Amino acid sequence: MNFLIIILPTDECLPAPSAELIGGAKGLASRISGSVEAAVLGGNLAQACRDAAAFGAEKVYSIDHESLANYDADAYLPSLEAVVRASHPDVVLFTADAFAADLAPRLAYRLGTGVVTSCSGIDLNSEGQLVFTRPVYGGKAMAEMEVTRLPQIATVTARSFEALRRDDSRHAEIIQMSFESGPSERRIRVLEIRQEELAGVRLEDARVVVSVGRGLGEAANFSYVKQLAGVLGAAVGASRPAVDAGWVPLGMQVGQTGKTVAPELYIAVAISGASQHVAGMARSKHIVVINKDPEAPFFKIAELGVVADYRRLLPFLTRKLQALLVQ
Amino acid sequence: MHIVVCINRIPDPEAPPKQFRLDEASNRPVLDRMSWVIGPFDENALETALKLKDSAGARITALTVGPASNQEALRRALALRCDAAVHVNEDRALGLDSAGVARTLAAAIRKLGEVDLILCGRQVGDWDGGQAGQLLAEELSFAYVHLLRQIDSNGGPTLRINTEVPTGFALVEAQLPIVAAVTNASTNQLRIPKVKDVMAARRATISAWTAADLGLDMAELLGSGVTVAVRRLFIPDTGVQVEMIRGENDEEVAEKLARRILDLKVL
Repeated sequence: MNFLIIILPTDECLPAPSAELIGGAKGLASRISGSVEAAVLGGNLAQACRDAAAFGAEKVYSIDHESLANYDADAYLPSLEAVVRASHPDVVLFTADAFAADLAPRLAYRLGTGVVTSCSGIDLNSEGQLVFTRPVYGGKAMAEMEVTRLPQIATVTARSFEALRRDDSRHAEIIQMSFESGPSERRIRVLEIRQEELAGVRLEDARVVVSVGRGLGEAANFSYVKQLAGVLGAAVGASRPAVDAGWVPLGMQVGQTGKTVAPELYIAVAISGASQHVAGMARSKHIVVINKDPEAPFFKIAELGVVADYRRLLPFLTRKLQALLVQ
Repeated sequence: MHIVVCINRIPDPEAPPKQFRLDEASNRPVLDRMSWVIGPFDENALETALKLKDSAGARITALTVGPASNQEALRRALALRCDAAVHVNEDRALGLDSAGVARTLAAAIRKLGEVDLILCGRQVGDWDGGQAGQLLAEELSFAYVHLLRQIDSNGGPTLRINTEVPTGFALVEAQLPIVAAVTNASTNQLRIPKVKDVMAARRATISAWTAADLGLDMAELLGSGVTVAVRRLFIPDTGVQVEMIRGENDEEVAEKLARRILDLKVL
């Protein structure tokens, strides 16, 4: 069984979720003497290709072209099809981000196969078939799914697998492939990309995350959470209602339609624990929930819980933790 | 401009987890006691269409694929002043995979004739596959716009669309005809219908078609046409028991919580 990992770097390095995906595929491949190859598409890819090899890809296809600078699936799809034909994989895996969500179903359509999106696990069953597990009904249930045609395609959420330890002595053949332009007419023109600047620790990398939800009440109250996060060196996240209300920027959204995080410690403040949100943080190691509603579903998955009004509790908690951490 | 909005009727995703049960024999959720809603992102798609109708004039057709009860969703769309409603009435549609849904939607849209813009939610809110729009665009060879937040302007053969991308936001110009998957934004929360429009919608005509009317074979869509199959559904066991921290007052609770957090040895 041969795996092809699709990698779409946003800067010069290999994205951490891509390294995890290579690691996950290597684990599966080792059980059935399969292989793991990577396809890196974008611009200025030399470093990302070397990284892919160092993290375990056995062969790396590189398609480096200025037309791949923007998020335009029409520009990517012909090259993706070409690299799948070259690698001839049984399984094609993407990391589950917004761009892969656009590309993967369309690639599947063009290859006459299917895709399982936002998987949180992939395993081999006793017959040696791949089983893709993903949350459904907002994480209230899990589904085990199978792709009935080849190649089987899936997008996989971050933190579902562990990356191998980086080893620069690993070598892989790096194959430069030419860009396939496809139809010349561009149906979509990207006029402008506005980067959202987020201050502080990156959510995806943080060891500690403090998040807020609908119960925040108003934007001004955000300072309570920021102070606690500051003392803990934590990143700040939010549930969708807090983003929809305009209290915090979109880039802070944790959940099924936001970012997936798996920190060592997740402190949820005034979040009810709708499964939409929980789907983005359920793999956190320790979960602390502060909510004034004792019936909040979040308590069901918490390790430590407090029923309290955060506006009264958080100033004390921030001060106590600060004092204890100084000691 | 003729806009088609694809909508779904689903169990309320905000319903508490304890109301959610599975029927082990059929491998399906027990749906009969659940409250039902239009998919939240489908609501954002509806509002996007209604805004475009308000500002530039458009004819809106609401389209759904599913059992007879899906008509409730169409009545709501009509009450919001969508101009027409089409129901592909198939009980068995609940068993379709994303490819089957997209093929059914595409067949219905071809039967509707000239269509300029198709809007659907970014994902349905029950299975959250998030594929119908992309597959529909491929089926119909329309341009596809992912994660539409807002339509900024309507310039004849093109639309300027504000979208969400992994690093922030983008402004794109897309050529009609377009399929767009709509995401939530502060500007596309669905409006409330007027009472008189709700009354009128009760009497409005809904076009009901079957898969066979569209030249589709449900047995094929549910059989050899399947690309993704569900093998098992289960409710995950979180396996944790919460330790509730209590005390006389907030300060005491904070003190205890702080110590317990430090005990975790993360900080």
